[in-house]
Amino acid sequence: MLGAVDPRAVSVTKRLRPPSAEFWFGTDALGRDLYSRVVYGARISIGVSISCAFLSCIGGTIIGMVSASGKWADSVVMRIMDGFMSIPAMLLAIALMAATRGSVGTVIVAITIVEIPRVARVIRGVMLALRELPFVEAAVAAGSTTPKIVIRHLLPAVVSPLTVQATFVASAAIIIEASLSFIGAGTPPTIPSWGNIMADGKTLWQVKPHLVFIPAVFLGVTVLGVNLLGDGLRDALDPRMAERP
Amino acid sequence: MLYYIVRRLLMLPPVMFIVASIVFGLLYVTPGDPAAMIAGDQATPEEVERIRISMGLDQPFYIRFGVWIWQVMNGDLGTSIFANQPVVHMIGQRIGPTFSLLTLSLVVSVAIAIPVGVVAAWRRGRAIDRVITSLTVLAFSLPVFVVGYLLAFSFSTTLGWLPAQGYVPLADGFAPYISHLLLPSLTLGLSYAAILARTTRASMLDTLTQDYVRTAVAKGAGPRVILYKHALRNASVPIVTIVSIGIATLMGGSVITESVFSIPGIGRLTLDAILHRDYPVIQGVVLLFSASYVLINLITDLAYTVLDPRIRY
Repeated sequence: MLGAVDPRAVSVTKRLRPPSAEFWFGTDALGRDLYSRVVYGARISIGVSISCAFLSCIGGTIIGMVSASGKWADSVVMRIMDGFMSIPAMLLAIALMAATRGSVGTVIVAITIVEIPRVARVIRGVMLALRELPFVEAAVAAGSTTPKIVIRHLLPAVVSPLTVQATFVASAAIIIEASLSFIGAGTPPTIPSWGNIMADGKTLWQVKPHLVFIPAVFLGVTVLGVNLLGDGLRDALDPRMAERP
Repeated sequence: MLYYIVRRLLMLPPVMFIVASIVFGLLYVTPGDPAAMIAGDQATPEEVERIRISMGLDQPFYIRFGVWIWQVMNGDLGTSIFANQPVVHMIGQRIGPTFSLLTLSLVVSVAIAIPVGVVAAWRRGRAIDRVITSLTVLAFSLPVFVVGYLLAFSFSTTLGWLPAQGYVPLADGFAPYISHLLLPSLTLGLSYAAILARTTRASMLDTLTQDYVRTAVAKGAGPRVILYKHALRNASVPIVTIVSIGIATLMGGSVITESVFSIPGIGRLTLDAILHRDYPVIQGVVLLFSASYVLINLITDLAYTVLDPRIRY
């Protein structure tokens, strides 16, 4: 049932079929089965999304912790992060993609670079606040070394804000990947990511709107789900951030 | 206050220097020959060589960077590889539509989002609040181009109310100018408006529990006066912060919106530059948008003292 037909199989005689029992979502301008493409596209789009969330959380945590560890490091690192954040996210991603050859890997790297400063900022903020708390002072008094304090006492406290950030990165990554692919600066057009399927459909969207709208529904529902998960996690993990009822 | 303004202005050059370094450095972080990268897979060795010399890639890195920074400071963003024209000139030709689009999106979004957020906070927990809150989550779960196609399909293809393609300059009349810009502005502004509405709601919820609001209710002030005069004014600082930070979303989204609605602005220029791997043009566009963004945020920071006289730097 899932992707039984090759999502890249081209068929000249079966072009632009409407949705039917054979082709659940119809076929595109090259006769490829839209249903298989959308199902296969989920693998690419969600794979990109999870990879970006994972990588930017690792990168952001390391940078955030380095930044919070010393005054000198803080001013240097945060100025560089400010520089990155002064470039609108979409344009930074476009510039990164223009400087590299398009592949799924470079898309992941580009989105990760865009998202790292945002994660690093949050982690730095949490760390700076934690550093002032009595239990850290107690650990210092008990003779713990700085690396030990960071790993044993501070890192666990970072986990819940980090999880929330990860969901935000994951949903942003799906949208950025789709937008990059849509304007031709994302994953190579031969790979059916949701963005590429919609980019393929854009020339015909006025006559065959389902070529754009069906993948759009899948993308929208996925991002909505991840966003709601993030909101829920934030309320559950950090009661202080929860909106009052 | 004067001290603060001067200090903020002094911080501007370092931030812009870092932005410029990032924009310049991006081309060199990837392994391989940047000239061959820009020329593409089908390029002949002569073409690669021409690009290498036109970008100064035959010189050492620090000299290229120094020369480039000096040129940028003198208002020269280099020459397009594909069109062989000064980048500043190309941007200048296309800035009109983009500026109109961004301005109208900003105005439309603020005009929609603030009242919506205020109502949601006022009617907290009621049906209208739930509907607004759900719609805002939905609005930023869709990529800009999907919103664009949805609006174009509804209001142009199906209803035929508004044109879905092209741009008419203001000089050709106000009505066609606005009618061509309305759908693109709504498209671009939607996710921005959603974030604004959420921030407005959250900030209003904070202020509505304050003592001075209770006093205003007690003295018999009507809801309009309480919401807009007492509460919104005090809730305005976080809202204005998000208005100014969110402009980055608008700038990024404008590239995609212009592509959906065939608007001949900077977005189109960027798309063509991506297609031809015209890196100087992309550098120029990114630098221009980033500089505008940094300036807007600076002006916003300075505006806080006007909004909230308690803030003293």
